[in-house]
Amino acid sequence: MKQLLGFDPLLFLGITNLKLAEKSIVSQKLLDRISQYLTIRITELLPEDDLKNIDDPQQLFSLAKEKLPNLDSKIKTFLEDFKKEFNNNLTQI
Amino acid sequence: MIERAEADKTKLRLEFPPIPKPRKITEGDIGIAVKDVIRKAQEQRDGVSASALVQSADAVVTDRLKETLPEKARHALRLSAQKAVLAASGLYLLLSSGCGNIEMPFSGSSHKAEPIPPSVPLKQQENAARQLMAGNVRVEVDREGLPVEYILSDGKRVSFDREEVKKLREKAILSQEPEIITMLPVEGANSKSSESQYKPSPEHPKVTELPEDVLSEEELGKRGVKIIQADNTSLFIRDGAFVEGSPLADFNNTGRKLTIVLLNNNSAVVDDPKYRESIEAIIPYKVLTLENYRAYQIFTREKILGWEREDIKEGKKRALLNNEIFPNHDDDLLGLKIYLYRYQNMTEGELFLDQLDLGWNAGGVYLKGVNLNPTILISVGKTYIPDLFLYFDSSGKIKAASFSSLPKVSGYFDPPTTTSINHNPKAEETHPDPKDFPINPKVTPNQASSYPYGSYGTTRQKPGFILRHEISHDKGGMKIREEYDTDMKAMEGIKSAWEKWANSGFTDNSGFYFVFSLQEGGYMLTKNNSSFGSSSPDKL
Repeated sequence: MKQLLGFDPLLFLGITNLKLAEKSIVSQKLLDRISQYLTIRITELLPEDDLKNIDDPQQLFSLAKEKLPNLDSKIKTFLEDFKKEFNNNLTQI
Repeated sequence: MIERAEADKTKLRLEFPPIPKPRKITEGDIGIAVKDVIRKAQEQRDGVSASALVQSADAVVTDRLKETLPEKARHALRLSAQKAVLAASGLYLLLSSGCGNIEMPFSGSSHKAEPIPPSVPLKQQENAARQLMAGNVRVEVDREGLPVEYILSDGKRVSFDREEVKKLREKAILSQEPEIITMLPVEGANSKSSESQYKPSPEHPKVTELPEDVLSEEELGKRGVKIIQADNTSLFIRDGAFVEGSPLADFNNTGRKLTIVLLNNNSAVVDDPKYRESIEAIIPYKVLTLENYRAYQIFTREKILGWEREDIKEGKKRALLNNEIFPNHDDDLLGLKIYLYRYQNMTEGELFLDQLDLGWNAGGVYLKGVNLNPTILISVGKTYIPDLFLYFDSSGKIKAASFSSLPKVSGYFDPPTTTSINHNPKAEETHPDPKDFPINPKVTPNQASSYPYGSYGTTRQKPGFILRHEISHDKGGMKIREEYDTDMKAMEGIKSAWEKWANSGFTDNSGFYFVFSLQEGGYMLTKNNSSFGSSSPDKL
């Protein structure tokens, strides 16, 4: 059984300048957006018929684990993509 | 994509350190690598606002959606539209079970990630963790620092929409500005009490019966006067008011019509059928409809708020007034936002009264349309502006503020000097003595809109004197008497009535033409106390 580790979107994206009061909300929002992004990317890879029967993100990830080979590395790629796009957006500011 | 407006704030060139090849991170790694990442990232990202970070993440998601096939995008949206906690739990599930060997910066003993709030059952959340007292209102606040409900002194409970207050707190933190949660429907500490102990005397006797020469509604109607009475008091007019040289001589069956409307300042006034006719007659005289008036007020307040933000950004005003470069500007923004909040949430009735300034600065309003038949509105109730507000400060902490107690920091916000005025007729105001009306020596006839006897301004103005004042505006035809002369003429009437009263050994009260019924029973024959109004914009 794996230990439940808290994924820290702030640390993942290299954000460390936030005030204490901001951290919780920004962290929550970024985690939400990362989840949405992963949901989109995984959805893209799954057959339409399977998606019709999915009701929540947990089911989606379970299905992805079953249907998609090398999901670990795919997720890692998606996360890196997110980070890259995120940083690109910031540099365009 | 990020809005260009944000660009000026954050002129950064971000150069991120390469992410180390994934492997299990140890305490030692955190001590060295993470600290190094933190230090470099701090240098690089200093100045990026929290909202810019979230916008950047938003842009990643929306850009990706554009690239996804429409059918797939719809499924993705359906799934990700679920609450943040649920979506995040998917990520947890993914990281912790399905795809467990993804190694990235994790929370560790020296760098704890903010825990995702568990999905707490509603009932458990509603158990208040603490209470906040705002005046005599108790606000229940839950463990997450969100208000659950407030309880008024009479036991009435009002619940908050949890999602709404959550959004407000986020907005406060992301914008780093206070956000108003709600106004509490109670009077503030700055309400001026006008209660007094009335002891009848020969000069100011208790009046238990209407004078015999009071005219009936029908008799008044024949002469051309219509009164729309309030629910808390009624106005009666005596015959003497119509004789030559008296206030209503011009409405004594001359063909001219006068409508007097008593308003108890309740905000439902616009919907009240008994007021409807007179209000519909009045509204066209005003340039703006009620909703246009609201929109104009909101536009103006937002403009001012923008100026305030500019000042804060530049730090100039703060430095001048507070001798500090970056003091807390919450109070200033809070005051301006309270004004904005009020206009956003006013009922139509409140807008109507606010537009006329009635019940507050003006105890009465004289309006004359093209048919030259005037309508006079007299405030006879209690007016108060909501003084207590709940808000999130710029760090997201729930607080209560008294509107009138906020410090005046900039030139854009003036806290109200009082928050309650009572125009309700009172027994002790009967048989007015001119000595109770000292003239304001600072006011001169040459000043525009000057009120020597204070019939304008945020002080108590008694309905009797106000009525005389408003009637005195009328000069027949298109002419209107100016404020100074109107106040003086109203006082002439009071002096004349008192002389008759005093010279008769306090037996002849026939000069006090206007009689108001009292809520506690009995009547009063009009009086005003001394209070000086400010020179303010003219009323019709």
